[in-house]
Amino acid sequence: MKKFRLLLAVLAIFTLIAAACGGDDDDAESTSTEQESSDASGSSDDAGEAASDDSASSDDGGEEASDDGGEEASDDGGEEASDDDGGDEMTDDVDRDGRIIFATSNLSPSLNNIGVTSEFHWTHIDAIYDTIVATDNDGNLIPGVAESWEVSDDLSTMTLTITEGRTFHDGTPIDAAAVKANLDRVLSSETQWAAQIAGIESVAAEGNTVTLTLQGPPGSVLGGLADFAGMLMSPAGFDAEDIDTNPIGSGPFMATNYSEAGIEFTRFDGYHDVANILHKDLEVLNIADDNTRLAGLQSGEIDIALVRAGQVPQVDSAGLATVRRPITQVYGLVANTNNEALADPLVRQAITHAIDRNSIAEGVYLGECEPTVQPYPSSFPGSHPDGTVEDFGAYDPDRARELLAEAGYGDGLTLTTYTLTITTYSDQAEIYQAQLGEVGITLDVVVEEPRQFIASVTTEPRYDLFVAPIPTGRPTAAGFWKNYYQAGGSRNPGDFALPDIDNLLADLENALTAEDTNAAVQALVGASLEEVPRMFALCAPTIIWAHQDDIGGVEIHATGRYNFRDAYRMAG
Amino acid sequence: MSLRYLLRRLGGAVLVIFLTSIVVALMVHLVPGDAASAIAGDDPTPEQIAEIRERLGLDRPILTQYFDWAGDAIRGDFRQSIVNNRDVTELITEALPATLSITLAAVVVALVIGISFGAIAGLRRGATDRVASIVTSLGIAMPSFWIGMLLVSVFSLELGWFPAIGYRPLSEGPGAWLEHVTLPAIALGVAMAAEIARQTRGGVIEVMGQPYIRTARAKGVSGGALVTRHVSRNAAIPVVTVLGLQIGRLLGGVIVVEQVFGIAGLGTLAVNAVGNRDFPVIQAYVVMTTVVVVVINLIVDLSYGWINPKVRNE
Repeated sequence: MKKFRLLLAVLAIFTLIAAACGGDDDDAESTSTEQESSDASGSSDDAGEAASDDSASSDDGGEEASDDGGEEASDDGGEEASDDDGGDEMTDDVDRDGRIIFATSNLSPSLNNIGVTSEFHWTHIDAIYDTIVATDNDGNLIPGVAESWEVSDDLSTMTLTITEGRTFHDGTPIDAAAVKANLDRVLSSETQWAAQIAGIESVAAEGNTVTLTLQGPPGSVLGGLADFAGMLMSPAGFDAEDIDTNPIGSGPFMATNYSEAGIEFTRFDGYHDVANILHKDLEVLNIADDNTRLAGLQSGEIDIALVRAGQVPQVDSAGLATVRRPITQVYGLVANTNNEALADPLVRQAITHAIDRNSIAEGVYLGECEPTVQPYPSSFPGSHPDGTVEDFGAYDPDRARELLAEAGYGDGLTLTTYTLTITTYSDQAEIYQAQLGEVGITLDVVVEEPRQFIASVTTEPRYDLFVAPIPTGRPTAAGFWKNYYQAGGSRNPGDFALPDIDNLLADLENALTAEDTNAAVQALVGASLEEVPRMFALCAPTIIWAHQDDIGGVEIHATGRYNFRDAYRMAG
Repeated sequence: MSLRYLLRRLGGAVLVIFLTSIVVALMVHLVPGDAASAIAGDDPTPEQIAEIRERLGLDRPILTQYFDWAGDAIRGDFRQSIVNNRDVTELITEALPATLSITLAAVVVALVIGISFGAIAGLRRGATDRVASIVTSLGIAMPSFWIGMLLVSVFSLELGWFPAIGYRPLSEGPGAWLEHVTLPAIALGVAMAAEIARQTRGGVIEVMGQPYIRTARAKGVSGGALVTRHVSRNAAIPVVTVLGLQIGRLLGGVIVVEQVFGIAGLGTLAVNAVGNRDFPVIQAYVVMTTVVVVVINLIVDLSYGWINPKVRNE
């Protein structure tokens, strides 16, 4: 009998534990109040949810980190740590031999800059390579390995001046000849990255200058030189057997171990700016599951990781800091104008008015996704000041019904809608299904895993509509407009063409200053709103990184990428 | 156990491996999207994909590709990953220790908990038995990922006794290894333990009702001697059978458990390979797991004769 009672007691304890763990949200809320005072981040919620897939996790965007944690982090690290003057002051408090562990989903299959298959993997390999041209955290082009560049008046050549005195990880100099070898290698590759610098016809090297003969717009070429196509590898390593796991790069870190579990890096002591690389080791862990990454953060086994909106209460209650940034990516629906109905601006306008952006952004994304009808958040310099939801996409189901009737679809319309097997997007598809259903548009939703989905929206387009995250600013804004709004674009099976798109795009791709670029982007946004876009933007999500409070220098690039050059761990 | 029987079983095993690998090959090719689209990136053009497909030989007939692969595989060459060019054998060797550790530890957890729980329930009927039935039903019903999350919440995040993520190889010390293996093994082993407990209980109850047990008792045998000498071996056959069947389930379950604990084992390798349609990796994984399941079932069959000489004679 005693043993029976003991068994019952064990069972009761187990049930209590289960019940206690089941009430996650309540717990998080109640503890977060206690923790707020000691926590660097005051954040309470966030957007961006789901997505352990490439595109979704690679959100990016707008301006500055908006919460306390973000500002503190960027003040302490981003500026002081990377600033030569402030660096000395910082050095005393920083553990220069520290190790930083970052967790990501979907590890890059290769560390070879042109073997990488997705833009998302930038963050995994950026530490290994310096680029010919660089970008600052707001996405502006700044000198990289090329200390300056000059474009001829007739836009036919670009001359790059290469900084002297830098070396690859194998000790060979990064000179004009090496830059030429790298560009030739990318151009002759069969990879998607070759397209980034397809505007280069030929490359010549002499002394410390590289001359590019151009056959395409210089703006696009510069964007490519700041991206995967511009990453520099030692020519001695081009044919190395282990190029995918141990490439000879030019950046502040060298890969020391690559496995399915993750990538390990160690600082390259010959790096030209080694004094400002404030940690010695770096580990990128491959953890696909969002909850597992969060558990690793909570237990202190992970230093930095991407978190979702719904996880922020738990992040706060664990005393973790956050950095967040609105991103140049939007959630939304994309129409295939091969469908006769969707080719009709009246129908597209009806869909625009049938989506209640504000309530979805607030209710589903807890305010961490800015409602928009543009491809950008309002903080992005290229966003159009007049392109407001109120003016171009106010929720008005009655108006939507009228427009449908006017277009001849008063009796209803059925559209096949593809989405991903990722909760954020399948949930969105269900919401669209309900809201469009109210105005008489039936969505037949097809949910596919990422590899199938990419085929369904690119090479074998089967959709009337698709629901997915749309990156709109990476590496430059031009890619998005080409793919979605120019006839022949890779995401434009119906060859939908914005009026005057060729000229508008040429303005963008030829722009060499931030001012001109932003003006050109605004012109494109304005034209798309006038024409009624084929991409129905819902909202621009905020990207949220959580990190331990002894980690600093965590900053999110305007494109949503993150590099580890400025990160550091406080000593002690 | 005749040599002929053994050869017949081995022949059957080879056939199972062949059929499984060919079915998987067909399935991989029937699903939309292939490795070429994975390599081509996020925004491929049909031309780029066609070019990569041709380079990798993915445009050849499915059966040609399969038999090419099978010819190499028979010679022990599992080729390279299409996606990252890494040697498939190396990838599997790298991932195997984590999966093997978790799976074997889960078997130990399942045997220890399952047999002791089932034996107690079978020997002590009444309230103990009823509680055991409820607990085993719960164990079978609770999905391993949920148990894993629960364990992480309590033992990693609340109590801090175990790490929440990752795996450490034995070479880093048995302490670190055990710390990292314990929770995944429990999460994976609970359902198996519950099933074993059920079978053990049933076996024990059946054996306890046999005349020879009554006779043994009448002769004065009781307690531990009765259980070890007369009950355990006779009640073991259904347990061994279920153990063999559960190994297959464990290999499936470990995929989920590895995700929950962020462990880069074979399960993670398989998930990534399927996502990327990495044919050589998928095939090697399938062949390997099929071999494991087939061999374990063979061992289970052979063990019947050792456990019960009557079966051997039949």
